[in-house]
Amino acid sequence: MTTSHDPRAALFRLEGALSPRPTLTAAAWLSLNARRVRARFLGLSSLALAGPLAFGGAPGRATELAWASLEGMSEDRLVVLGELYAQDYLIGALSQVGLDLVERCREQGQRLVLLSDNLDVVARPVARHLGIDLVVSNAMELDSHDRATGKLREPALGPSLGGRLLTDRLAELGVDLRTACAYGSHRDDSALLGAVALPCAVTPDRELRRVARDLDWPVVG
Amino acid sequence: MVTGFTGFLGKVWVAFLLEKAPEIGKITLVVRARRDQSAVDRVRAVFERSPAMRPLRERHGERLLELVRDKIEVVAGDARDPLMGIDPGVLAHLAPQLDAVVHCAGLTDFSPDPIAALDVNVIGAMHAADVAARTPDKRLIHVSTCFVAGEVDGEVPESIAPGTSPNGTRFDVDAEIIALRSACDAINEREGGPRKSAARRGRVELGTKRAQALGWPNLYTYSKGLAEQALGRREDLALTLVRPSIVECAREFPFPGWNEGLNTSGPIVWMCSGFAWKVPMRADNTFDVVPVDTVSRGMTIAVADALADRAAPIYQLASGDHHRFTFDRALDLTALNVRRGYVPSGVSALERMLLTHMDSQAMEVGADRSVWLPLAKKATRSLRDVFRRFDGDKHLPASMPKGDRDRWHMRIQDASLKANKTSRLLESIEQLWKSYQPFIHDHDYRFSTRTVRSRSAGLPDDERATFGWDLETMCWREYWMDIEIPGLDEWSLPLLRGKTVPDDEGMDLGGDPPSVAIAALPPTGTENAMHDLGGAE
Repeated sequence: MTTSHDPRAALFRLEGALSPRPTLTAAAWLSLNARRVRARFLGLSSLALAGPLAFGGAPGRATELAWASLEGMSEDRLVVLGELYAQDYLIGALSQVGLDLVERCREQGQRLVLLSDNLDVVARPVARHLGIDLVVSNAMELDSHDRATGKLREPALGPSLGGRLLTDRLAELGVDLRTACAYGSHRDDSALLGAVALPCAVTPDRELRRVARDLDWPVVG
Repeated sequence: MVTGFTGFLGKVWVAFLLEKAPEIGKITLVVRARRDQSAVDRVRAVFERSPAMRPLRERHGERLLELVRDKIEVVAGDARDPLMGIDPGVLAHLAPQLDAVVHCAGLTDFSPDPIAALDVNVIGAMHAADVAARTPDKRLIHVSTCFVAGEVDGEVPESIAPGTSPNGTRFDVDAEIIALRSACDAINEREGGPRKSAARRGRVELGTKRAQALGWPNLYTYSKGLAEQALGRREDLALTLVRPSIVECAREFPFPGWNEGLNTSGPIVWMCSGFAWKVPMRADNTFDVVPVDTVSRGMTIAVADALADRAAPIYQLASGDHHRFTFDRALDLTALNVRRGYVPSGVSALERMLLTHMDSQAMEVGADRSVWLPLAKKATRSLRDVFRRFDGDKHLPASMPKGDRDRWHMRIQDASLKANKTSRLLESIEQLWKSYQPFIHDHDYRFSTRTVRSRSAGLPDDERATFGWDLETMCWREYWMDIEIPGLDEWSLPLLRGKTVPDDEGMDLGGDPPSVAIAALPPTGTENAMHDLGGAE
């Protein structure tokens, strides 16, 4: 096995290309494990509203409601629960197709980047498990008592990763989208895949499969 | 000269010095002999088997005896006796060679017998001072406690108000000691002798009331406060006070998690890991914990300053003023540790499942105003009484076969015993919470640590790495979950369950049958009082 150096970055979308679980389930699980029983019920109520919004074409609003359910949670709790969620629900269920792609890119000496609209407390443990150093994800805003405000730290990434926001975040890490390859699975990943030099649809949903076919993107899985 | 070597802090600090400052000259340990164990044998046992000495055993192996012979000497003594009970000839030989006396010995029980507290914590300190006064430079480093501050809130400066108690009452230490002893004598006489349990209860109650009247929450802090006041009056000493806060599991040295005995956090963690869903704490109050090896660093800085004649009067070794940890955070992390898979010893799978979802929370009300504890006690006692009154012949159907009747009777009796045990446990918990109340609920302390931090900042880089005050670099989350809780579970909590914590298998220091060699002494007939460790030469 030869490891050659390839300065291109390989961007992996956690939700879809690697893990079958959407971001909302992490928010739900974290909320269910709030410290106080009342907070658990309130959090679930928020998520009950977020669910229909996510499927009803307002994913941004759904995300806002989902993370709002964590208001008041301590940083300690976010970090520990995030690690637990990643261990128990993500790492063991990572797709083999996605894992093989990560290894192939690593062997080629590419810089690996994990992209996620989930919280960093969830994404980072997954990245550590995969041996990926660079992570672009959301983070919960904390107040002066190190408690979640329920809002994401700005600038926040939405479910549809892409655009100027992502370009700027990646540029801070020294990653140039124009030379990168990217792996995504959902319709939400179209913008990301459309911005890179080498897009790849990984076990895509119906809409992304159609886009990939139209734009002649490779499809794996 | 060091007292208190057989205690938690004393052991770690001496091990720390031997490991990190091997260029040190000689450490003379004043150790009390027990009925069945000489002072030398007690010290030998520590080096051979105490987990605190693991790094030394691992580094030196069979050559540990050489190190011990080179750096340690043992003197039999007792702080309760004049001049710490050290043989006069031995003291006359030793004193001119001593650079300092470090007095670590003391009773750490919150509610000791007041006479014992006076004898050990106050008079013992004076005896250590008398020994220090006979050394060339008269240096005494006295290990006290931050909580001599008493029942106060907010910033606690590194200072002492001579002749004044925490609540501002003017008092005289000598008069205080005489009055307390007289009152205790009267109680003893009334109750038929000092050994009667009613006499002890009476003495503790009296002493506690007196302590609280002056602004100290309990006999421990009262006796340590009196000691500081008594030492502070003396003009024949170069006195340095070291005031640690709550000393807890080692962060790194001798190894992560090491602890000994039942300390402050153990019962708190035990109850938070159990079914104490509502805990009588104030969430945002400071939980001023410091790892024992960090305290060792601070003590070393204080002693080094004293030896260089540039010591500040007081070194407070605490965390709250610059790296604050709160009770709420401790509760949250303790609960999260259960979720992460930490299983408190002796907990069943069902209990663990329940514990995972019952995160303990501060209830903001002191134990004295808690409603649920008295209710729970009453409920369990009522249940116990109901079970005790159960009579199979009266309460079971006459048609029930005798075998079934007997089985039911046994079950009910078992249930009665369990209810009684639970009731007594709740009683203990209530007493524990009440004794902790000043520290976990009533007061929020911020002990100033300016001295140790500024002295640490002035150390050369290489010395700061080894001896510097490094608390700010510690992540509370990692410390509490990965070090403190597992450390307490291994080394302290078994004591709460009535079990012992075994020493290491350790090693034999070696030498010909473990006997003592007698050091050459001036011809005063005191050959048996001072010993070197190890085999006969």
